[in-house]
Amino acid sequence: MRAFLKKELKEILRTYRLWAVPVLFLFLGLMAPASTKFLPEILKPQLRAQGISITLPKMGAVAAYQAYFKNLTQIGLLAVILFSMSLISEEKAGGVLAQVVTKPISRPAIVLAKWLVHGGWFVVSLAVGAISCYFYTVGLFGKAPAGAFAAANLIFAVYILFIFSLTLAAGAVLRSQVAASVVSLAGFSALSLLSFFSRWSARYSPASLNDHAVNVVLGRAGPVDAIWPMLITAALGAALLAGGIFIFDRQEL
Amino acid sequence: MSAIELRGLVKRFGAYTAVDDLNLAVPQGSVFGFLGPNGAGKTTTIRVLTGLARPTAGEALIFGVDVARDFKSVSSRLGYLPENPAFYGWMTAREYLEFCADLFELEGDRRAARLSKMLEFCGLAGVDRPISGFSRGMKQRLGLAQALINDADILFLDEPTSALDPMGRKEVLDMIASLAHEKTVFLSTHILEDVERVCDRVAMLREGKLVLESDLETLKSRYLEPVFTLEFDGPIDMFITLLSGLVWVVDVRTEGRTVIVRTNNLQTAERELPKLVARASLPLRHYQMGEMSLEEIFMKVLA
Repeated sequence: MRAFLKKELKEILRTYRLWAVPVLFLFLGLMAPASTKFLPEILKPQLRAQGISITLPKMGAVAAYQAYFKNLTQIGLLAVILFSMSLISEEKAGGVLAQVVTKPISRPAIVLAKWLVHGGWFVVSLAVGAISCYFYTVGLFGKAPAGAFAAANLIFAVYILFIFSLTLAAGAVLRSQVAASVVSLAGFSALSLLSFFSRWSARYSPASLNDHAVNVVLGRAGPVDAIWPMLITAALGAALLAGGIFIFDRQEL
Repeated sequence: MSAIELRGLVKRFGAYTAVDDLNLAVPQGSVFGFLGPNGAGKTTTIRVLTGLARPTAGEALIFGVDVARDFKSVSSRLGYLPENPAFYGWMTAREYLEFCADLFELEGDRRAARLSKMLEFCGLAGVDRPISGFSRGMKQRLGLAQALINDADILFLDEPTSALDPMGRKEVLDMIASLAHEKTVFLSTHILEDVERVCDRVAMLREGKLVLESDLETLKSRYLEPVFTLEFDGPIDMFITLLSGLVWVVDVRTEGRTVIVRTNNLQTAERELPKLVARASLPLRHYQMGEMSLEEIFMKVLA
């Protein structure tokens, strides 16, 4: 496994992943407070020119945080799928893995090394986005809650790792990266839709973690309230990954 | 003990049988040519032997170990070069070989020595650019080096020269020839010149079935039939008529005004052919005696 951990780390350092993933999260982190602060001021003259008079509520730091988590759900998770859909399937389709697995390396070790290194990089990138969002929010709005925001980001990190596990497992099972991304997107959409139809799902499913994160920054709930959904999400992610590894280990390459 | 042994190996993909009851033994230290037309089952057999595919029935053994049951125990003793070697394009040749050395857990002086030897061996020691910019020949040479990084006892080479230009082909064949007697090389190919150059044993496969297995010398002596090539300066019909029905003539082929005569009796042919030429009163431009090439033997066996 050490050989693959080293290789995956090197791959991050030597390819676009080094800058593309943190830059995207940095952008999401900066965009949220900026749009919260400046959007009403940009809209105001345009609405006035059209003779529309609307009193926009005064936005604060918590609204900036809300916008940040909305961005993460809409763009961040999609990016996680796009960045990770090729991690195994591309190496399988291109024949690189066939050459490698004839050497003394176990296939589960290959998947786990990818999960550890790339999952770790997603978490680091999320931290980059969160830190930039916090400081820019403080800069624009003055005071902003730090503890609740950090706890909410931890909750969201579990969601990101779940989506990453889903995509990695799909890539381990399927040969085409497009098919892997379609399966991940379908899974992600199904989980989100399920929350509308099932109260249990809205409370405990992986998709509920976004709401839990927002509730924590809004002060409606504490981080402790998200423990069960986090554990359920972690267990589901581990099960998906284990299933993907089980099939990949028996696959003909 | 044979280096490689196949016992009743069968591999099916749905209704299609790619390998059909294949029995084969490859002695240690031989360069074994695994011949057959495209789709004969050569690559499938190698994929089973390298643990990439599971047999439908039968056994594939490496040093007596069934690879379907315990591939891990033999994986450190083999090297594999697929038909189209693939690499991480962002790595350099040295980095890729270092990665392979890591997989084999080579350490210390042995690691440094193998890395430097393999980089020299594949002629890429001074090349520092990423593999994505390599030519096909460079990739093939690097593929051979990665297959040898662990000083493997058995090498599986799947069509190693099929897509190379003459220069690249010569380089790769020279590399394979340099391994003879030290390693067991299992060379899958459909290029018969390559087999004649580097192999000491051959097996021929057709539609998944073994049609021949022999050492090269026995094969040639068994199938060897002298061939006479006669080129005339006029119509050859009369000469062809004279050849028909003669018991020492096995086959007659014509290419323009050239007649190729295969015989089963060299002495009679050497004595009688000049007489027939004289009787036909044809001006002879060229007369040559040769042997059947491996390609002709191959065609004969497969026919």
